[in-house]
Amino acid sequence: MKILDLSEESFSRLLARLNADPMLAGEEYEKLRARLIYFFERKGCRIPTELSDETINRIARKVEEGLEIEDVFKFSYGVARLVLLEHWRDPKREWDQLDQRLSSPKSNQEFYEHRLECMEKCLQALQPEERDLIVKNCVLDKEGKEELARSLGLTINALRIRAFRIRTKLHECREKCVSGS
Amino acid sequence: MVKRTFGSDQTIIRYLLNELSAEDQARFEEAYLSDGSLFDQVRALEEELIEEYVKGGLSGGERRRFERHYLASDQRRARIEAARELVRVCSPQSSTQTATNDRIESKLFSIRSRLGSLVKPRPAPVFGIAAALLLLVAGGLVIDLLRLRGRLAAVSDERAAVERRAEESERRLVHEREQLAEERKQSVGLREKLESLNSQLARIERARAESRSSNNQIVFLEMTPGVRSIDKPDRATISDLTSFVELRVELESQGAANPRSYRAVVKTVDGGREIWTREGIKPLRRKSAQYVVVRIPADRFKAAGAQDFTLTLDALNSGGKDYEELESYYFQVTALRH
Repeated sequence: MKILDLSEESFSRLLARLNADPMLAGEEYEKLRARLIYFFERKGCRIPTELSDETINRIARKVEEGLEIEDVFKFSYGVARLVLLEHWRDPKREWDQLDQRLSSPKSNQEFYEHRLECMEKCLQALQPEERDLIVKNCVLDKEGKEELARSLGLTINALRIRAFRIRTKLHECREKCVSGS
Repeated sequence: MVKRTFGSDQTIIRYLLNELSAEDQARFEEAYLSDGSLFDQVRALEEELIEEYVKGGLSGGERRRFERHYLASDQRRARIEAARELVRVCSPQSSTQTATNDRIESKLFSIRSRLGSLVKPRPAPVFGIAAALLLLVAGGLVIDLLRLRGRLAAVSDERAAVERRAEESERRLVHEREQLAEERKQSVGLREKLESLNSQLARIERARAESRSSNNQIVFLEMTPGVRSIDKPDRATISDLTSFVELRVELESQGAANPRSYRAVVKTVDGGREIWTREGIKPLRRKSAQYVVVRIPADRFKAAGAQDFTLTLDALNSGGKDYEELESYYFQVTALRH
């Protein structure tokens, strides 16, 4: 499968289609991309970022071609499925996966200790309130979490999502630390 | 159809564990791609699911389905590893702590975290920071002090219990020692009594034997043909009161029609000294047996100063003049000395 390039003009049209406000359009774009990456990850793809970008490129082309798209997010699902099917039929996919497997880090004790250090360091780098929430969320059981949510005046879903966002930040920090960047 | 229940935890978990039908799965994916809040819910619940797996909180079936999906890819395995690291970093002591302990620990962690954040320079009044810092440090010290006090009290209780047990053991030991000493004393007393009784018994036995022999004025000694032996001689015991020693010799069958006359001679074995003799002894008949019975004065044996003797029995020959030796018997006579 050939990953198509996208012109700046096509990309601008897509952003405008996502939201009239350029700042909010950027955010929408990131949301769309994140969801598509997640979708491809869930499907077991080893190059979810590339497949997500390919999906967005194709949507942008459709927008450029003048196709009326009521809901870009909803529309993206159909495109993503096609991309996924093409990816599954692509013989090169196996090589990509093999390359990924070969390049995946070996899990030895030293590396594990390093990852733990990174996690510890990144946990300490969080805001105290964030760290507190993550630690509590990590050690509490279901009832404890419900109690915690009540004490914070949140629903359990809101608490869960707040914890998820902090964890995402934490994992990004950890990834950077582990890779040494 | 899952449309109406997309947002429920149950549906999301079923999706995450690949339990939805292909159709429901497609609808669900389309829904979370276009619905940001659902997408967030899915991600958040997925993180929790991974964390629960790491903490061992999933049921058997859930765990199997989770592993089938999440262990199948390097990326998902990496997420599990990251969650494992987070759980390890958050609860370094152990995952088996009770929820209460977890809550306390997390609260303490929060206090420490806040303390740590206060250490960082901030554009706030110095005195305010110092006061807050001191307050938190003091708070931390108070908590530590309370913990230490609690631990100390527990250790003191334990020590007191151990001392009580030791005292009890000591008392028991002393009591057992006293009992043992008493039993030993009793044992010695009983042994002495036993020895005394044994010696009394021996004296009684001896006296009885002595009285048995001494009280009898005539001591009988029966000599049966065929049992004469040097190793086991016939033996008689005489005392000062014994007057006679009666020797009975059973004769071999001679025929009742011609009773013969006999002579008995008693000699010492040592030296062959004759101490007593008698002739013209007529045998006695009892049932089918014939006996020669001689009664020898006990003094003869006492005077002989010996214990080993022989009795020679001779029979008068058919001419009626000479005696022919029939048999010799070996026997012992012991004189008791008082």
